[in-house]
Amino acid sequence: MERPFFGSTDGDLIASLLQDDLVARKAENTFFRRYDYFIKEGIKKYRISEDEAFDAYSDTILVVVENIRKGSFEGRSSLKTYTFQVFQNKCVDLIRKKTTNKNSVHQTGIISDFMLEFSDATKSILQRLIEKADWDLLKEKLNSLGDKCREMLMFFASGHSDKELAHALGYKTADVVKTSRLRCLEKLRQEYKNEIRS
Amino acid sequence: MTDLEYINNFFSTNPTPDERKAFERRVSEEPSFAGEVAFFLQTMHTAKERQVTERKNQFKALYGQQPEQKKITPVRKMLWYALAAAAMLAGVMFGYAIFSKPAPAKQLAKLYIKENLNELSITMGSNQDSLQTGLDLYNHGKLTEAAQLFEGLLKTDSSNVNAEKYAGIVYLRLQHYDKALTSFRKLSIIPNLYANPGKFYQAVTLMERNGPGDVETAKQLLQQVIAQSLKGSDKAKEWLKKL
Repeated sequence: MERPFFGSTDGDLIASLLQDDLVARKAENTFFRRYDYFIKEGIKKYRISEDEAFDAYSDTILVVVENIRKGSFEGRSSLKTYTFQVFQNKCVDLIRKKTTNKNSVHQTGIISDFMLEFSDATKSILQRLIEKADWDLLKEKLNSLGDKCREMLMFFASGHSDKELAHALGYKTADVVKTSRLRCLEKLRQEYKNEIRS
Repeated sequence: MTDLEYINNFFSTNPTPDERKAFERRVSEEPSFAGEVAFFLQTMHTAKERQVTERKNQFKALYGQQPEQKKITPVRKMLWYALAAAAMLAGVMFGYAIFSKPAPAKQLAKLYIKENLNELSITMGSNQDSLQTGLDLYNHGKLTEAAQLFEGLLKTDSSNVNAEKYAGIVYLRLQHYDKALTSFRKLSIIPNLYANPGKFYQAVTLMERNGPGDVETAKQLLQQVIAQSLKGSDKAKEWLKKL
């Protein structure tokens, strides 16, 4: 028999976060509001600005939600305790970044998220190519894609499956979503490469 | 199949070791393919960053901040400082009045109900559609209809834990305290129930009712909630300091 979940407990919130996009989005907002007093605590404890504490807290919520969806949050501690630990780590990272002036986040992020299983040789080849990329141009071209194309790429990049995208964006099937998404990717690639060449 | 589609499929699925080897061989032997892979990864990263930025802006709206702060003229700034000082003074006086003596149990219960039980979301379990209907009625303020629906579910299946819980919450909101206490008492004695809220909700009901002896009984229940690490133990610890 499945464990039941209750009203305002962790279990209920987690169950809602795992539902489809509309319910999950509402649950994320509830989750954000539930512990947003952490921001004030972060300001006091770490002596950071409100903007910095807010950024750290927002990142925390998004990371915890992602971990819940991936199944990495095992419920060994309460959601509050887990979220606060992640938040504290984010605040500490922020302070470290400020003191050491490290700005090269992009490349490290990509390497760790997508290339865990690759050999070092493959990682080096891809990392060299990634370092040469014009990030600002890519951002600009992504921003100028049509809304639907951009939304599709954003949701896919955030870990949603084609099936979830079909439901959220009103497409008939997951296959239609995949075809559309690849078309968007191809369009973006053309626009980016054309600008690089000129 | 184009290279982009091949790369998309590779990162969307769990490739076999042979597929992974083939992929990596192409990366090392075909510079144009390696370029396509790098482009795909950069795009995913940039798209995800954009998604994060948009989501953070939505969070900012929730938190009550605007992405860009308006500039305040010096005169308006002084007015804000004066208002802030007055508010602080009023807050100190109010706080002294309220916190110099124990917070009434009824106030704590009312605040808890307002913050946690005004709106409920669907839970996993059996009879999901019926429960959702009941919750929709509840969330739209149709408490009597919601109570009838949950009572109907319990007539069909008296062991429906979620129906019992929601029935209790609806009775609490309707101030049918005896019925609420009965539902929560039944919940509390169910063995091996994950995060059983029965005792905590009984305590909330008694604190809200605030009849003779209710607060004392509520305190005992809160102590049991803490001792048995049941749902609400954090709140129970906080309230016992104030009661």
